[in-house]
Amino acid sequence: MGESETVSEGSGQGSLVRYENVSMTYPSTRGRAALRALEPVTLSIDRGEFICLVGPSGCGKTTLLKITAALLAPTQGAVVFKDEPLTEPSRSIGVMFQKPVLLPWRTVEKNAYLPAEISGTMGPAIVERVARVLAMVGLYDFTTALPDHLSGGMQQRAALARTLAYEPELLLMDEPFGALDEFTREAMNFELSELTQQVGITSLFVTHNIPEAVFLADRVVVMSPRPGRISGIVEVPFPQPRTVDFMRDPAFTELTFEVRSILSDAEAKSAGMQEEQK
Amino acid sequence: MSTYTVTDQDTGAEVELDRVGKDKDPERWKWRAISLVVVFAFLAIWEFLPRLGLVSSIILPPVTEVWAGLVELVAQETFMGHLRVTLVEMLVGFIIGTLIGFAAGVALGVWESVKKSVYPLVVAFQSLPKIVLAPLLITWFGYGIESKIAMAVVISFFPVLINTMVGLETVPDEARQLMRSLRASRSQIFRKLSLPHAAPFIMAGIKTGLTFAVIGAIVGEFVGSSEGLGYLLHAYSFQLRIDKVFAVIVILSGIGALLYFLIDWLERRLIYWRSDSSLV
Repeated sequence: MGESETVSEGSGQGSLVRYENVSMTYPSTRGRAALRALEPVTLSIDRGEFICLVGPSGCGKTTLLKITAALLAPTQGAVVFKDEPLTEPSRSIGVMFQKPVLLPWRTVEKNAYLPAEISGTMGPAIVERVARVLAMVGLYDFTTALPDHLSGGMQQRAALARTLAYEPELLLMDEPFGALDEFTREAMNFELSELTQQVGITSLFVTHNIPEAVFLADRVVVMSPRPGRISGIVEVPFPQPRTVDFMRDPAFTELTFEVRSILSDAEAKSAGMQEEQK
Repeated sequence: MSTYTVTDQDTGAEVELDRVGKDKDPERWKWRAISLVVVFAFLAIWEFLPRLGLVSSIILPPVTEVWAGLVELVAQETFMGHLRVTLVEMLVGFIIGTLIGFAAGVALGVWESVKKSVYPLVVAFQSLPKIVLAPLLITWFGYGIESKIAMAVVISFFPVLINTMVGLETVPDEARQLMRSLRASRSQIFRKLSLPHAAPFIMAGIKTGLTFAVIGAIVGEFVGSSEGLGYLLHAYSFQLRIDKVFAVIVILSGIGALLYFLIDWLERRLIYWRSDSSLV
């Protein structure tokens, strides 16, 4: 819970991920001009920290997440993960997508075994760990259910369990609750805050929902589009795990407004630079 | 069949889940009864049209005579030989056709370069009405069982090929990314993701292929043969033994239905998750 002191620049021992001038340009294809998706980003994420990337579509947040997952290679710059340049997907990094991406022919627990099966580490230890993690996300009674029989929220819980079961050090989430209804999304956020704290994992969470970002994050990284870039960082100096009390705190509202004003300032600036978008 | 009740973790609601997903239509029995009545009405019309002299009974023998012809046909000692020949042609052709279709579909669905170079040829072959190959195949493989097997192969491999290819190509991008983020090898992605994802497609192709194999074997026998049910049908037709013609048709539809239900049963075993679902 001492994150609030270490959040500042975060260079040095505490850092788990460092972005060094990471930029992304999609090459031109068939008459379409090259697209500058991400201006050079320099940022450091500390161990145990919860970072939210928030911004409208086209701000490069998903691009940055995919670069962190090594699913995309940056055009320039480098990502340093655990003091080593990140060049290919790492088993210490877990990814959650907007869709749960569960294999419909596998039961919930067999879906959670998938990473271990792929890495060839399947064994009694994994079975035991999966059972524990499934209980943790509230799917204890559903270990042998097929994904199609679960609600959207429960499917995302299963996806979270699959990711946590192989104990990654960094958890990447790309709008994991974006497809859920508002009530379920809120409940999932409470649980996510609790779980990430309990496991002590470092998290990078992409969303376009400002209150969600403020609620979850130790630091909210605000991004703006055209071109995609970081336009500000807002620290959220409140202890984790967050509860509904935090949402009632006037500071919560204040912080969401702070994020919002950074976004609108950035928008005004880029609207001044380019005449009209779309 | 059986249902089980669980509590939805998000809403707290009690949800009843169908284990098999059978619809419990309260009017099911009513519609079954009605469809049965329709079948009987059809048979009755068939029976009475020739009996009342509205249609010549040489052209359309009454149902009861067809039944008598069927009993007589099955009792003939040569019948089992004809049946066996046709069954072998269908099944061997179907199995070889399915294996070829599957192998080719995998090659086309997995390797982009194979698809780019071979697909135009595949499409050209597909637009060919394969029945026109029957005389050619008989010239190449002779009057025996081989040419009919070849005909069944040629006609049945295609749906399996296309469905295998499409099934492998429609794996959602996010699922591939998940596998990549888990550092899965190409063969792991194929075995654990692409192949099971394609399985419902492949089974649908196999079902169509089976129906086609039956057609292929019979058409092959029509064109040139000295044994088999298609040969019998052709011969009886020339002898104007229309009751026997219908009897053979009944047997052939029986075989078709039996094989289809067998595959359908197998499908429900293999594709135990809902076949209409893609990745969730």
